Amino acid sequence: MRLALDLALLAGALGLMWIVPDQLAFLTRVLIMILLVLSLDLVVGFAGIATLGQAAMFGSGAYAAALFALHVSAEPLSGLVVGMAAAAGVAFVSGLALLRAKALTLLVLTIAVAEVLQEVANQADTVTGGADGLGGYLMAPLLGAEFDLWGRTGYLYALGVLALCFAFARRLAGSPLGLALRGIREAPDRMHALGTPVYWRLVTVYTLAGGLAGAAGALSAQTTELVSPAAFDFSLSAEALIMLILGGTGRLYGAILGTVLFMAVHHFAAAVDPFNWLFAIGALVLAVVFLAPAGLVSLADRWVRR
Amino acid sequence: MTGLEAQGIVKRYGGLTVADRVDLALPPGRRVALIGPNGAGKTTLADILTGITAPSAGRVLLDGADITALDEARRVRAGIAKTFQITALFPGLSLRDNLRLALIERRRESWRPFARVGENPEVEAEAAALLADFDLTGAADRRTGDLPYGAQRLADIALALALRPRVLILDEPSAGVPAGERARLLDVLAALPSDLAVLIIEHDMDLVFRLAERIVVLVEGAVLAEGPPEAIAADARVRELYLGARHG
Repeated sequence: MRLALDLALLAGALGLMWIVPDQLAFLTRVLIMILLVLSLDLVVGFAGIATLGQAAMFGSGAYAAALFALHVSAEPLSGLVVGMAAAAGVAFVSGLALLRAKALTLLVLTIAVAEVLQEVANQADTVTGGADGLGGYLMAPLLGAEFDLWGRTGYLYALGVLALCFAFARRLAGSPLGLALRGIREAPDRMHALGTPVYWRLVTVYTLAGGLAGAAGALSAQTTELVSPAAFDFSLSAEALIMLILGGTGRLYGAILGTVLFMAVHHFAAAVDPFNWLFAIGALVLAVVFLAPAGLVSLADRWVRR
Repeated sequence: MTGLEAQGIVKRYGGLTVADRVDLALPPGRRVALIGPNGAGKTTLADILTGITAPSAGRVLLDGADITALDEARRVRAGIAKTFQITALFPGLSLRDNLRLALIERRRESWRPFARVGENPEVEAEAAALLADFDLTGAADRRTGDLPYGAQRLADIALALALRPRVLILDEPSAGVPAGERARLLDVLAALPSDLAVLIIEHDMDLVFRLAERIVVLVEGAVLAEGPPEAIAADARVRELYLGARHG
């Protein structure tokens, strides 16, 4: 059942290459955003870590991949690994400090980390290009396939990475670590009383999810061949959280559903009215919060059970 | 000495002393009850034993080793488990998943991101055995938040036993258990492993006198009396201060 769903999703994503071949740049952005929201689901949905700073890891991955392409090698897969490692490193180090805090304090600290990194990206212009960001690097072919003008290679690349990361996230969700994280979200005090090193479990998932967010950032840097301090934007973290809430937390598929819906509405509403598209998003969020508080995935549950 | 031992425990909050040079010994296999009026400092003492609260002075020893500086989770891993005054389970998870959490933790496997829950035959067999022991097999796949309160209390004890502790601290196990489910709780408590050291904090004197081999009476943070149940029941100060007319 789930395999059929996965295959259908994958087939649909591939089919879009023929249905809307002129929209692949946008669709690649959607895939990258799904990956970021997926990483957020591991942090918020599974472990219950309150964060509005997932962009810290997205931006770190993006800058690391761009710098790697500029100064070391334009080969995309090694750049992806470097981006993931850099983001996981940032998540680990910041997580060591952040995850001692709880609730609102934690939330504010996650925002602060992303803001500090953004300011560093802004100020260290000899390395990061400052407010203009980094550009001027051209990615080498991916396993022999050139990054073409229509974005086909980039789209397939992003789709492949997302599929692998999704498989990893699902494996994690069904693992002892995944169960421990759900336990921590439900009752952290009880987890202490079972002997669980709660803090280290949180640091672990924050680091792993940071790596996924870094993969999203690296994909963004590689497929657009441009990075700017906007990669650390608060609005990116916030929108990712809204997408996750729309889709449903702690379910993984919610990340896909919420992101696709949000970005589709954004895309079409902005085309109709470039100044007031946020109204459409606001109405959508309100409707979902009132009609399906557990997210759109919960509606699909009802439909499946019937 | 083997087992759990508290030596000269003092706990002050500002000018208020809630534990005043308390000594307590809990050798393997022994059932000790800690009783006293509300506010006597029983839960504070239990929290000091389990590592939730740090004492202002005094030491906690496990098998002779000083564990005063260990945090709660480390003490659990060292063999000290507890149940909660107000039932604390994972309400959104099934009872089986609740038990798996404890079993996985005891096996130090909760860090593993690639293994699969439900595919370890030893964990599954042990969970099934615990469910059977507690007569909870039928409730295995229900969310623990939906279980009747008596069953939740039993599940709480099952979770603690899944950790295979050497010391078990029961914080008011009978609190809130309806009369009809008390007998089952008593059976479970009476059938606890014989080599386990058990500290029972309890208001229900029937339960205390039925289970405990030794009773410690705590009043205003200090030990007022300590001894076998008969001696405590006969102690004039205890009768006056705490037991009142019920056992008089």
